Amino acid sequence: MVRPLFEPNPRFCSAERASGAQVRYRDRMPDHEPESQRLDALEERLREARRRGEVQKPKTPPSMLGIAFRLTTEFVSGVVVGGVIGWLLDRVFGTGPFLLIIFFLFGAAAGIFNAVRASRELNSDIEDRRQ
Amino acid sequence: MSKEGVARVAGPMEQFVITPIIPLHIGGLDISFTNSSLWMSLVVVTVSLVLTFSVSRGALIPGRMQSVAELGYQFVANMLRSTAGEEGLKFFPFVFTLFMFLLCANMFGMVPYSFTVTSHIIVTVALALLVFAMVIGTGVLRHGFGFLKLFVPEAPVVMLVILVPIEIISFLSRPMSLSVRLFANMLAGHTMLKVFAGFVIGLGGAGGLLSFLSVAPMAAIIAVAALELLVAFLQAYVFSILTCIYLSDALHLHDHH
Repeated sequence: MVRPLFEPNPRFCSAERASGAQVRYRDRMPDHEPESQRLDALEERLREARRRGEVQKPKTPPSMLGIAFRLTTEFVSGVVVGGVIGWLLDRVFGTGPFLLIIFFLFGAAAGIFNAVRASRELNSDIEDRRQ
Repeated sequence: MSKEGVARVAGPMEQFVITPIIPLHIGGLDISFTNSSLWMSLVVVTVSLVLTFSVSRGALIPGRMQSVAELGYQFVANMLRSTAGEEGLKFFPFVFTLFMFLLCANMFGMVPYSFTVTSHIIVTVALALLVFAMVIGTGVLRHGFGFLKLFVPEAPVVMLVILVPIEIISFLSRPMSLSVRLFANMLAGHTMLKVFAGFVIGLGGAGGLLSFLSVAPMAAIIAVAALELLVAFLQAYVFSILTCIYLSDALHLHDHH
């Protein structure tokens, strides 16, 4: 955040005051208030700031590349795991390529399931951030 | 520039070569202490020392290092609380260790001449299988055979014939997508950096007007390096948040559906 030279940004200042900058400043002055009382006051101010939504939880925005990568790996890993299971079962039972084909399709379905689930999570994430 | 001059430039994949530092062979198994082991140990030692010393003072008003440690703690705790609920905080030590290890390993990989531990699939697979074992262990301990309900969605019985195998495959594919995502991201990013670096040297040595063109890949390296720093953090974050989600699945079974 860029701090303006002359006119202090009110949002920045109030957030800083709420998150303890004031306390640090007050620390240097002689203070006869007992520690616990000051702590309580700080807690109070913090709670106030949180209610106003000034102190926000740290959240990382998902990058487009990250989202794309997430969805593709979800899908591909479903297909691969399904195929491998089918192939192994075929080797155990000696049932030609049939189980491979069936489990490959199951795997593709599982992959789509995974991708849909992941995108649903991402959607709710984005909605959380909007609010 | 002569052919030999070009040949001396390291190939983009050479950074991933594992070289033994202390050769050790026991019972036909090669368990040498390699550069990979060295960097893993460095990561563990760094994380342990930084976290121990930064919070040892336990000051009420945290200094710089203590702020970093507290930020990491808060970050992981919030992540766990928002995905797995208060109950999930039991797994805090596990997830925190995982996150710190991955974050530090990825970041160490950005240091020139270092070795990126997480760019080898064997490392990420081992971590993903650990998570997988943790999820199954938690589910079985908590729900017993009821854990198998995870594979039975609410649907008509006819559909279950198709849905149960799909759910099982979907569950089994988790460690794979978890490990491949992290490994592929690190591998791709670091290879890209080295390829662009090769362009800089190649163009710079070409002479004449082409030398000036080497500024372009140089600029690309700077941009990609910045992106890689973001990816290093993001992948550690994604790995640990998915761990949280899987643990939450094991804890609460179908509550979130």
